Amino acid sequence: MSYKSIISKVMLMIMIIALVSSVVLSSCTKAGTEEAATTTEAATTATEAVPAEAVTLEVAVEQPEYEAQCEAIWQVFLDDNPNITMEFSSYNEDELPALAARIAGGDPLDIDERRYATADNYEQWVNLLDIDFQYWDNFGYDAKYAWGELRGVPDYCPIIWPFAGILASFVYDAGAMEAAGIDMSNLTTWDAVDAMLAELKVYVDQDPTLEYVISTGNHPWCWPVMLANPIMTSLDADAQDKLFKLVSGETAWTNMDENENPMVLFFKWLKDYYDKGYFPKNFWEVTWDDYEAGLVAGTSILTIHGPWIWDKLETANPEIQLSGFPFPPNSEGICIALPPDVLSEGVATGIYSDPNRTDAETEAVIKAFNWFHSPETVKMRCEALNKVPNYDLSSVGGADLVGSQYLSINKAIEDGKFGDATLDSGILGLDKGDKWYKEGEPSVKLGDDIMALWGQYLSEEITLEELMATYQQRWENAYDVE
Amino acid sequence: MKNKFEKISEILFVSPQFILYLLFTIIPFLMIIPFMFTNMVSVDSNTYNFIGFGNFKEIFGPIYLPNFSEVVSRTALFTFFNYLTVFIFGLTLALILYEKVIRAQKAFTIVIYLPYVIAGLAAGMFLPLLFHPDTGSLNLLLEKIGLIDDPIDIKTNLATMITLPILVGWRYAGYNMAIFLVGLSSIPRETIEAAEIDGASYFQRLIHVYLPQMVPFIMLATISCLIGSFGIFDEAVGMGGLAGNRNSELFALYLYRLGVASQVSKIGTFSIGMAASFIVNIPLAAIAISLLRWQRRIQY
Repeated sequence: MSYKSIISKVMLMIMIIALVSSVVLSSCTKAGTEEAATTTEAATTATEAVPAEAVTLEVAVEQPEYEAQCEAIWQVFLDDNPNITMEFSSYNEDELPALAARIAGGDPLDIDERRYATADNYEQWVNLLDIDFQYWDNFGYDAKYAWGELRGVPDYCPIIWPFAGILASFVYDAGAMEAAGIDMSNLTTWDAVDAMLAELKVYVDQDPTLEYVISTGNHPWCWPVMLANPIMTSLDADAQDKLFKLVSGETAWTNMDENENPMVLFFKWLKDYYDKGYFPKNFWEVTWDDYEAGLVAGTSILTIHGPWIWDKLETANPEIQLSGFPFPPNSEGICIALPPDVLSEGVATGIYSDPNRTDAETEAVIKAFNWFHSPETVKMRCEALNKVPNYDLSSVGGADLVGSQYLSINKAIEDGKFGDATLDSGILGLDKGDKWYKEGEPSVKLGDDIMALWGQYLSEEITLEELMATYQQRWENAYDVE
Repeated sequence: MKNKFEKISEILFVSPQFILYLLFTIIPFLMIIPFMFTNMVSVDSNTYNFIGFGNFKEIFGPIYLPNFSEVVSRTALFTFFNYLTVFIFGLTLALILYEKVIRAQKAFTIVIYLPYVIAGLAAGMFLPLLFHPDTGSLNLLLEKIGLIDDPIDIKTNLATMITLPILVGWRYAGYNMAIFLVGLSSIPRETIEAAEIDGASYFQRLIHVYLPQMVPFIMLATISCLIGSFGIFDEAVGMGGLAGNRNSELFALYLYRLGVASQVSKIGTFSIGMAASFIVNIPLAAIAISLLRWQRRIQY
């Protein structure tokens, strides 16, 4: 036997011994921990009255950006319920497939603050109609049945949401605009906005520190849903009704009459602004994170976005003076915010179904869920996260909102700063077609590939007619209208 | 003649990797085959039904076929360029080591292998960061010194098709170098010396002596490159494949967006993604098997 084969045998023995040892050691450690826990429990029992059963709940917070605030809110509940502990996690859009796989694998969380429930996966959520939930009447929408009606799933309520929908608007650095000498008042018509943008373009072109007039990037939801809808409704007061006609098949997507097809009106507006150089070149290839990073770095002093950018800009630069204005009110004086997330996006808070949940855990989850939606907690959440409530907070004196977007847009509209404009947040036209949508099919509402199509049109690889023909094809494939 | 203990030792050495391969590659692959014939939307779908070959018909239909064929073509082109880098980097570096051109052999080997331990995502993000239109250091520098007027766009079709294979080739240079080095080491010295005595130039020895005797290792590198190219994910993500840069959307990324991605990013269903994977990977496997058979015929 050669020395090499002896060495290989010795190494094999060493590896096997190491493997067995590690298994034995980890087992001993776990047993030791369990023994220690049992001892502690016994000591507690000896000196105090029998406490409620200790349970641990897993909670996914709303968004990674608000993880700290969400955990702080839950800590108030935990302080009053010492038998309950919580393990927190957060998931951004890229991590959702991993969460879905975990749930499919039979290891769900307990409470998820903000997640999708669709007609395809709603059974992974507890039907809230079956639990003792105390605050249905506080919500500003039909919290029990609205989700189900929109998605053709009657008598099932998987998720609920106490906040108003997302408001998108123009957002700008007021200090920088003043320094540029650009008057940002009275931007209540598209003519006024166009004049301001033309003036801003001249300024940007001669300022080497600025790159773009309106900074933006690619997002599969932000552009097609959050921005396109208020812009369309601003351009055409009947846009949402006409969008419903598109999704119900009453109007063909290939109808190129902009008076009947608000998508045509929107794409013409978008192309006009792109050709004028207001948007970055090939912005549909710029990641949303890169766009936001560029904005924070000062490549532009104007953008169009939702609520989060206000927080991000102010966090990056506490000295910045942010302001904004809504997309101009339409002919009926209406600006729109999206409807509550639960109805538009289909995201909200729910309890995952778990057949292995013990009675004590179930009791704790329902208690936590109720607390999370009580007036006192919703007020706390509104104020911590700068969210406008869609919930009756009169019993706790309303929410004291101080967020920049709320003050600059929502409150400013209420105070008449934008003339007679009012803010509406009804169900979007395309969302009314969700009950006919075949889950998973390339959509006409949103998606990565939607922006790629827009890019082809804006870069003139395809015509507007061809773009709308693609939308028609996608609609025919994805919708089963009854 | 191996004794029983040696055979058991060999099996035990191979077992951990084989068990992992079985558990995380072979068995999952077999398990998902039935799902290709259903309408399962997502891994967390409530219900799904048997639909026969419906998913395969959809992939070849007007909604999916344009994207599907574009992605497969793009990946095939990438595979071709990536294959060139296998030889440009891998074989060249192996020859440098084999012919002892460089004295510090171990240090050289470590330096060549280092890119392999860098995360693919980090490697892929490197270029877009350097060439970011607003904040990229290289673009800013080149603009500052007046070499360019506008920032270089690293995400164009041409730029991506040049940089991505080079990036991947650079990362896997050490891996391919090792394969070719083993091949070179297996060549009997007598054949090389005989060629030298007969007056063959280095290039002639390379073509007529080295490469013919390295066929099994060239095949191994070829099959690795072929299968690996269709599985490239991290580097393509880093180059923006999931965020607007369609030019770096290679096949693995397309499968992810088709079947697995989150609600807003998905462009299909889980079962369609599995069917698309089957359509491409089965022919790939057939090509790999054919190459191996051909190699056995021509090897000497």
